[in-house]
Amino acid sequence: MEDQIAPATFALRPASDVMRLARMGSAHQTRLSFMRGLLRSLRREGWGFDRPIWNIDDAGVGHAVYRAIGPRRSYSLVAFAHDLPDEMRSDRVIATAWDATFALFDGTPTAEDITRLSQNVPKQEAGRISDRELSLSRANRSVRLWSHVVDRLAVGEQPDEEQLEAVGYLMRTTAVYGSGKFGAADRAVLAGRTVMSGPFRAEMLAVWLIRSFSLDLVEHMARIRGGDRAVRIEPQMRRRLGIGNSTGLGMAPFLINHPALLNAWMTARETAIARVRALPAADKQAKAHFMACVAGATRNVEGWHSEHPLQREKLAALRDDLDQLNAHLATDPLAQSQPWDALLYWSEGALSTEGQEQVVALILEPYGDLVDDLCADMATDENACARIEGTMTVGALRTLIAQKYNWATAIDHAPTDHCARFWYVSEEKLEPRLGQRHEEPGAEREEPLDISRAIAALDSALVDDGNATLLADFLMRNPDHRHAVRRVQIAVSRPYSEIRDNLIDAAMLPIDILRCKLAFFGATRFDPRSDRWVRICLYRNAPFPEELANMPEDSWAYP
Amino acid sequence: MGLPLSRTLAEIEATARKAARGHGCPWGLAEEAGKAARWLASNGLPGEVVMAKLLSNGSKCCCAGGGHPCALKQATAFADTASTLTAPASFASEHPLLVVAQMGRAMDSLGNGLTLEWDAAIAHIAPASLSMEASADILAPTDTVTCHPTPKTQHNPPSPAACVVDPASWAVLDSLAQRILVPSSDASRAGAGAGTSDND
Repeated sequence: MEDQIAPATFALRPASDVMRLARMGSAHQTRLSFMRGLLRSLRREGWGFDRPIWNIDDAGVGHAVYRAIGPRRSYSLVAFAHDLPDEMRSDRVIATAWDATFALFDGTPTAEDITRLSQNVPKQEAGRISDRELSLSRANRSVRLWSHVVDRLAVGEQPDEEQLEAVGYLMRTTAVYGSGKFGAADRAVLAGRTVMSGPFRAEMLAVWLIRSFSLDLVEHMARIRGGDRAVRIEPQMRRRLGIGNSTGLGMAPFLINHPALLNAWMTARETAIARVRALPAADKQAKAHFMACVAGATRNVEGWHSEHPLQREKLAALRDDLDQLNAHLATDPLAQSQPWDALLYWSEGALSTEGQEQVVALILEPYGDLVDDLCADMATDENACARIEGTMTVGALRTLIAQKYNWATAIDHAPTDHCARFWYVSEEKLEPRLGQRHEEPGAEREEPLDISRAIAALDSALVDDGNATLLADFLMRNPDHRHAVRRVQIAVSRPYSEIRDNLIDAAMLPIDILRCKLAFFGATRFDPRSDRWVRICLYRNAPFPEELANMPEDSWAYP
Repeated sequence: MGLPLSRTLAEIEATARKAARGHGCPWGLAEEAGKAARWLASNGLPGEVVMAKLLSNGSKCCCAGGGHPCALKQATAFADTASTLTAPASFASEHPLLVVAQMGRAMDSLGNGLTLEWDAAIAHIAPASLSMEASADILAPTDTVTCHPTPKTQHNPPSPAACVVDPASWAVLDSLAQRILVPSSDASRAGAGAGTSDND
């Protein structure tokens, strides 16, 4: 059986390739994505689900509670449905009212808890929740699809498949706040809880239950309208509806501000890829599983639309890539030794970056037993690696910069285009934004996300000191470089901690950062609305809570 | 008297970090301020009060003025070299709790134990553990705080729960934190979103 065991030492793809924005901006969901990991955990632990409260009136206003019940704990989504005039519907963070608002409660809420939440959750950022809550979020209806589905169900008909496919969800969340925000429990509260121990698990659970709420509410409205004539959506069609999400710049600084966490996510994914590449052969079952997923990916890209010129170009390339992949697979390339490595090697020469990253995600699909354990390595404590080792010498730090940051020191940040942007936080709702340094005020309040420039400045400053000087002494005299020193020391043992591009360059695309993070969540159907704003779909085709135990494990990602 | 003001550890860290930056601290030191305030709060100590006092003292950060290092910078420098601390060391501190915080965080990383002693208190520190006995005002400055490396034996872990904070100190931090925010303009608003309706 020795040849069945993959050596874990097969080379990981180099950070110089993986950590470029062009590649991060072509990332696809994988088996390790957080929502898939969450559903596998819930299923394996035998979680049950119920809806203890449905208190929604004929106008669609009221509240409901969705509960996930595990072996030791339970969590409850408390959902508030509102009557929102169309003119107030905005996906911007600066909006002040939504079609629905939500909190994920730690346990089962009492009537007093629900009263307290009803006074705060609908106000979102302007309200205050407590550390009994794990997340705060809101969603708006997809007006077009919502009306269509209500109209059809009310007269006893199923929705039009094409319309359903074109939108893919009934509600779009516009922010899902967790860990310590607006009073919610700090992430440390979740430490040691099995199902909640991975990154963004509480948020992913909330979104999954919001999806159920969106379907229940649309069927409720159809029943109010149509009475006895009304029908529910057929299960197959129901499952095709995910939950939308509209995400802006606010999400981008997180990845830059959590270098150890970014490294953990990337290392897990790249290790999974390396394990599969190292397999000496592909058996019949794995090949069949892979081919089914390729067919699913091919169907998925046919239904994936975007109006954004850049994404349209990438989608055209991906469609072409999948044609090429299907043609290549017809020649039975998986019959050779180390077939997955050979396939990736082929893809690097034949396909666009979108296509290459799609293939990388697909080869993991048949090998859950080999890679799913890596989900456990995707959480990390950023605080645990924040300490600066001041006894390191200036010479040693310079060597590290030369080894790990040559990509940063090679950039000339002086030309206007190379420092055109600055990241800042707006007074308005504390929203992270990106400004034009040479055209807008506020650059003196810049956030420290100009990583390559800061490292290059540190490298220049170190030249003035002797190599034997201790960093503690250097930092006492040069406190401005402390932030950059910390990043270099974090990168020592974390090859994937830095995005290897100039994050203040005029040509930098924030949607590339968003895409990478959202792919780790498990998002599909990326549809950029600008260079800094993207719509996505979550949990499309996933089982609903009541179906989870009876469907094959994790079989829904490539239907 | 209103309701007690409760803040999560994440909020305490973020607000202290922004306040320090608003005071003029370099980002790297502002991050230390945030993490020190969080560490203190998680161990039941008034991190927000210490930070508000520190940042109210003087019109700008010591780093900008080139003057005497402030208590945060001093405690941070000491913690930066904590890995070589083998013999007792003593120095004066305006804010001895910042020494406790920074050395506490260093011990969390290094996995070592330490005892800090000054006229008002004795603090036994171990990784993810603090036990402290106070005999006087722990917020008062001291001429001598002494650090002894000690075996790590205590078990008094930090709490992730939200903390009741001092409203006056919180107001000081909040007001300093506002200084790093950029007022909205039509240009910034236009660039921030998709610029399309959500009515589809």
